[in-house]
Amino acid sequence: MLSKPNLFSPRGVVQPLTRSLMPTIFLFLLSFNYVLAQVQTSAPKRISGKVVSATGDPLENVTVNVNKPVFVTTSNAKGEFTISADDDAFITFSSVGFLPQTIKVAGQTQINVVLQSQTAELNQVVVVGYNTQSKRKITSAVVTVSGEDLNKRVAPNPATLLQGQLPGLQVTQNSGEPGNEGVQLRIRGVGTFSGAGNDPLVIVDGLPGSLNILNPNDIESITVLKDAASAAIYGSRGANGVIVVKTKKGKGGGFNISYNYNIGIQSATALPDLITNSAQFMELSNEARLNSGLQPLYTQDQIDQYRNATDRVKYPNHNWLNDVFKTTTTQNHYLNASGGRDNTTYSLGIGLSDQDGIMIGFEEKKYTVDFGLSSKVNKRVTIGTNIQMRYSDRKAPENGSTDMFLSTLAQSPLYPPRSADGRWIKRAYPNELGNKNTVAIVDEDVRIRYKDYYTQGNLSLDVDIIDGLKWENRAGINYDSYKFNDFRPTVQMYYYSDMSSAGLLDVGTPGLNVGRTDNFYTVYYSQLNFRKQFGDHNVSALAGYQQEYNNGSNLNASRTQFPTNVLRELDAGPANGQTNSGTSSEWAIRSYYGNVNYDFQDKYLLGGSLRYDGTSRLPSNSRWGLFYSFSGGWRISKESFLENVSWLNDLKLRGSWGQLGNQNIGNYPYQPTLDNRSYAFGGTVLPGFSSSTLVDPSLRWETTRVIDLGFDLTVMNNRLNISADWFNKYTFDILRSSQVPLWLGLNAPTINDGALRNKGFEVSALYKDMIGKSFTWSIGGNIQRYVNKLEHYGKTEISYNSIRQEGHPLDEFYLYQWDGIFQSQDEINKSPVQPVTPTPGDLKIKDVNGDNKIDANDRTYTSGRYPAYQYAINLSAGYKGFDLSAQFFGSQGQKIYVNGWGIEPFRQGSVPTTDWLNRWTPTNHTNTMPKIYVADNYPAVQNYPSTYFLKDASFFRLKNIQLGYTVPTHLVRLIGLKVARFYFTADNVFTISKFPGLDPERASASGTYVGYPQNKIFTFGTSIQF
Amino acid sequence: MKQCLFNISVFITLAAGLVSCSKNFLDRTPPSSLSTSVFWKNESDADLALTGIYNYLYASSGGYATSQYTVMAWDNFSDDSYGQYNYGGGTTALTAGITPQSGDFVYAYYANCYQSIAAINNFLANVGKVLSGQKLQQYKAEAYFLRGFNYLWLAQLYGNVPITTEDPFSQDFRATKAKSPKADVLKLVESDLDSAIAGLPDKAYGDGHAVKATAMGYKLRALMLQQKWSDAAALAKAIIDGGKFSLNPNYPSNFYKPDQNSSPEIMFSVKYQLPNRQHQDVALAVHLQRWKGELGTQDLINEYEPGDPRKTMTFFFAGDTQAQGWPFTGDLLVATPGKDSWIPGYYCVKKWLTPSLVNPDYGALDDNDFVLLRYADVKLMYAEAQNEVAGPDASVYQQINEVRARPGINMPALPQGLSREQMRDRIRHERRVEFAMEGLRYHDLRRWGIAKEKLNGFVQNPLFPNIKTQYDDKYEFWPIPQTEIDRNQPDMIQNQGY
Repeated sequence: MLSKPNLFSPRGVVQPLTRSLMPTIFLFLLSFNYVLAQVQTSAPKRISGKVVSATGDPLENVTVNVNKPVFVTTSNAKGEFTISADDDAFITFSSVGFLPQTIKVAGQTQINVVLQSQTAELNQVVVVGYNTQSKRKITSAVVTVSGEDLNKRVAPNPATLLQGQLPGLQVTQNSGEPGNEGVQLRIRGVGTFSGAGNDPLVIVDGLPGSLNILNPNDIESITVLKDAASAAIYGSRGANGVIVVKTKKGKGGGFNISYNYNIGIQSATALPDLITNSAQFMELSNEARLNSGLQPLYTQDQIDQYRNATDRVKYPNHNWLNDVFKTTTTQNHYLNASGGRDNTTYSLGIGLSDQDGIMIGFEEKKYTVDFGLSSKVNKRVTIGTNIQMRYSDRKAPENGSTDMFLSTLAQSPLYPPRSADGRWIKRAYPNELGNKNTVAIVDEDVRIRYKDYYTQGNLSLDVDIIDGLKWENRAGINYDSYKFNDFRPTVQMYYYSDMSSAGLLDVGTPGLNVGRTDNFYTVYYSQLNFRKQFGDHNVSALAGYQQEYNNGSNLNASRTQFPTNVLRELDAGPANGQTNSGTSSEWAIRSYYGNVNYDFQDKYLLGGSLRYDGTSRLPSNSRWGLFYSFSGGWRISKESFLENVSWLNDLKLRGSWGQLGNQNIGNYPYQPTLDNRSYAFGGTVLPGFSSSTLVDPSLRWETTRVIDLGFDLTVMNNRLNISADWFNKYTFDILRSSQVPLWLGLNAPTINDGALRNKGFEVSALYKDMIGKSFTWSIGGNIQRYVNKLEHYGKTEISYNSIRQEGHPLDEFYLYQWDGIFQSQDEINKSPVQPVTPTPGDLKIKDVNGDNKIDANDRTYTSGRYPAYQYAINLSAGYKGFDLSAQFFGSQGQKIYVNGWGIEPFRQGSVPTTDWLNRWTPTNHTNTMPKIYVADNYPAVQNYPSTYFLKDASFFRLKNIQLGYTVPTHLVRLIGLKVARFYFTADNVFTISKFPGLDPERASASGTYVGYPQNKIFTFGTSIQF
Repeated sequence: MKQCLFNISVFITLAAGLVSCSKNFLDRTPPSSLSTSVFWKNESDADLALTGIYNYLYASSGGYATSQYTVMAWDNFSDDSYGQYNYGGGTTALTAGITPQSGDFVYAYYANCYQSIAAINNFLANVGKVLSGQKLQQYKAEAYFLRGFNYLWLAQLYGNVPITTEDPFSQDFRATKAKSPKADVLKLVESDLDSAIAGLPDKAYGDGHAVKATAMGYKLRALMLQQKWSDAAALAKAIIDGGKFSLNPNYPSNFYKPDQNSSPEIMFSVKYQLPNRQHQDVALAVHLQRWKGELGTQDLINEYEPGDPRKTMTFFFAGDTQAQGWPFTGDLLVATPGKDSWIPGYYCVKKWLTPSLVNPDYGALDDNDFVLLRYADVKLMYAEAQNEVAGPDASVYQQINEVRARPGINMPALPQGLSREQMRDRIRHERRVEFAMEGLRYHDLRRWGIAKEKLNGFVQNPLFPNIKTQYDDKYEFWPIPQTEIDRNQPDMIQNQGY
């Protein structure tokens, strides 16, 4: 039923108004341009000059910024510039890597400038919450990486590039699957155990947005706000830290075009070694089945046929990994046009990346556009816009990469994917176990097409009301439309032994599923920003209002019984039996915020932030939360007693304290609803309902309190920088799902209960030096460590292999302790009673509580859930046109609980690894591996979670090495270029780890052993500026 | 400049208006789920809620191609079938045993039954708000039936389990509970089923709603489980005398659509209906005939008397073709053990196959109801109970012989003069062949106290005589899932032996 909108209810009228207002306002704002262009200014004087470095070399691309009349240009290749300026104007010269310099015109017409190299980065401006701040004034824990450093590695997804760059940010890349890397970002550990609550907030150009959709080349800088003082301005959404991204803006002074291209050759970092000799496989299979009390699958005749065969087409020793894993290429193109004139700057970046997965069937083409425009329409008013668009065209096999990998392992070496006459093979013999033929899945195109259109854009209006007071407005929209088309054809399969029919390829129900998910997000803020110097006192303050609204919706439809495999649209199938579904959901937040920073003589620094947030996700009487922080800094090196210490360039001590909120708990956690539960009575499916989920109607905010103490030190004539932070992060009133007893028969409610503490530190150091005149080098490193403890939880909860208990790390492993292998029946008889009656060669489990019986009370706490520490080492060197850099990354102390295909033998008939050649047998009395078994519920091993499944996943790897050469300017100019650089870079070059067979880096601490592998990539690239 | 200031002031006004006038900006409700606050207001809500509690009969067992009431998966726990894909978890139970960590049925029956009970308790606590009088009694009676049905499953599998009869939303979700003894659980089963018998209409079963005789049949099962023979015999007789049910003259048509809809023999079933209510994952014909998820054992085949047509109505044999109902064509035209999932030494299941299906495979559709209680069962339970009470009197002979003499089965009457023990063996034999692949065997063996005798050391496949099954005495009481023990510490104690 449709109802008319009720114009008289506040809801009916206000919301359409809210939505229709924004475009109106901005259309209106654009009209400023017209009005203000008519404002007149007096005629300025023409000034020219040259910018050189301390060594006298001309400096190109130095930004020359005139304040009166406002004008920006850059120096040319000879360091020369020409501008117009009033007599009383100031000109500021700035360039990356140099200290900026400001000169008063005062009648000069020729101004030559020597810029000092900026060995200390103290004057760097850092983007922080709703504002920017000079690095030397910062009193909170923030770290920044430049786009330049970020893009030393090559990857389509910028999130993957952050690893090892920013101490305090833990980056885990789950897989190398194109477009589905599963990058997990954690700032200072796991802060909570509420639903979706550990992902940091990502701010792109001032407003919440997506990092994954950006083209890395469009990024100017990324800053991570780690403590409460920096993140409190984001209040309710800052509890897990904030990642602030600034995209590239144009620079004044002409028109620049640059083009980057690279091509990478990629392969898996590691793959398991499998038993591919068919006769050996068959014998092991029979042995395992006998050991497991199952009937053997292969007769001696069959084994002999394979062993003695001369016809290796009919009796192959097939390695399926060679069919499914390939060396492939990945290509990235990036074109940027930027420039500026007449108070307007712009930047346009267009990117295309084309990545073929190393596992067959996976591919992604990604197109990105980034557009930034800023125009100072009047001496007081600046308007601008930043728009990023991404279109991702991705294909992936129906059930995803884990299923592809495990299904590939679940093929015996006895047959190829396809017979010589082109028929698809299911198995060699009907009684073999297995899974779907993955090569057939890809070749028959049983792949889901994903098309993801994403746009994030914002408009800004900044008004200088009076000197020092700015009114800043920003409104943005993020729109994501995600479509999929999932067609399952019918494909006939055969048995290789006699080529008899084996039914259809396992694709689930044949037919078509299509769907789309839309997400529409609007945000708007308006703030006053005040900055003023009163003698020795510097004050800056900020106050604003923000509101956010999100609407997600989805629509799905399916049809089955298609008459053909070649058409994959709904209308190609019969309407009978078609289904559809769809829903939507909303959330909204409204916030008031403010922030004050004060310093005295740049020496004593104080800051404070406040935010008052209301969320639709909480009930009306508890939805508003107040969050705040305080911070202070002391630049002790500016004190007179240290001013004469020559080796000390700068030392700042800082500390902060604050509270942040979290409300990422599903959209309606306090509202009880009914489940749809139909039943087929008398030939008709009738609708029904039941309520099966508990809710807590008095939910309130989850709160995180962070204390941070740190220092920033620069010594040895600005050559060595050290930063260190210690933090204590305490999250309480955690919004979590409560475990409920099974007899209650209800789904658990979301409640506020529990407290978690993360304590840790981060240290980073960078030493830069020069040998002679032209050899520069640097070595840097960082290390981070945190310890996680559940401080309040209530009743202990035990999950399958982990435990939540007060005083222990969150989700600490809680396992039976594997204690070797039973060597004989005699040893079994003398040992404590095991949970499952063992036979010689089975796992021996430790009697932890000494009651001579192994039962649930013998499970115990087992370390390894979180890394003890993570570290990175960065090296770089430059000589004339050559540059070389290397990044090492390590993570130490974490363990992963893995089972199934690949790590256990014969799961679904899967091929064992060659490790199983060292298995326990009556003649090989090893104590490190059990006898071989069929891992389809072999209880003596699989019935209880034991440390047998826990693997050391510590690793150290050469994450990246890069060698580049920049062609001397005088040579490239001959062919009309400004800059030409060529480089070679390699990712994941080598990895040292005890983890068996596969790459140790993965996001989940427990689960299926196999997953899409990480990529080893060798990339050749060039970047050219015209 | 004036123009500019004017524009800015307009902007401020608009921005301020935008801030202040949207009062309900933060009030958002789920757009596609009904709030519980609007429920239990109209009489029709009782129908919606009653349908809701029947829906729990579709609960998943956690395994592929098996829901909780995929009855034939139960036979994988017994000497009747071999579950080559471990549907239901029976294969594991027989090779390796049952532990508190076991999944599939061992976990699912416990968790699912309590979810169903919670919905029923919530129904019972609220239905009085919208119904009254006769109608209220009948609706409550259906709920009582379903609660008794669920507790009976719990009692026969786990024995001692916690009892909860209150509205779950009125209980403290942080509470822990101890188990109640099996006898108390069965007492609740009997009283719930008595309430159901009192309130349910006395008519034939048809559309899926329980009727009076359905509740009586389940109470009969509860009495049989407790070996209350004379009560059981009397109750069975009452059902028989009630005359609402009869044996289906076409035995196989109890097991496929649409014939099931009009079978006078079915007393309770889980109803399916294409296209919107299909079996979990794949059609039954794919599960049973294409993949052969359950395969009959030689031991079961040997159990059939010579000439018993139920043997070929229940299983396929080597050489069968379309004439025998074999559904495959092409190079599978002739049924051949060793081909396409058929493990030699076993027998492919024919029961539950819709005769019109050809080459069932992915995408095949069927909506056969899972039959949970048949009138033939009541007749054989009568015979069994009466035989224990009074020995093989004429009524015992009559009931078992009528099952044997069903049209199309036409098995000869049992010889006169059997001793009580001989009759008991005959009844056990009759149950095994009559109900093969209907999931009753495992429960019968446990009820008769001969599960260990039959299932420990049993050779499933005569071609592999060295491979034997395991069964332990402690399985008389299945273990409570470890999760539940952990969540109810220290009150809940595991059953003996685990």
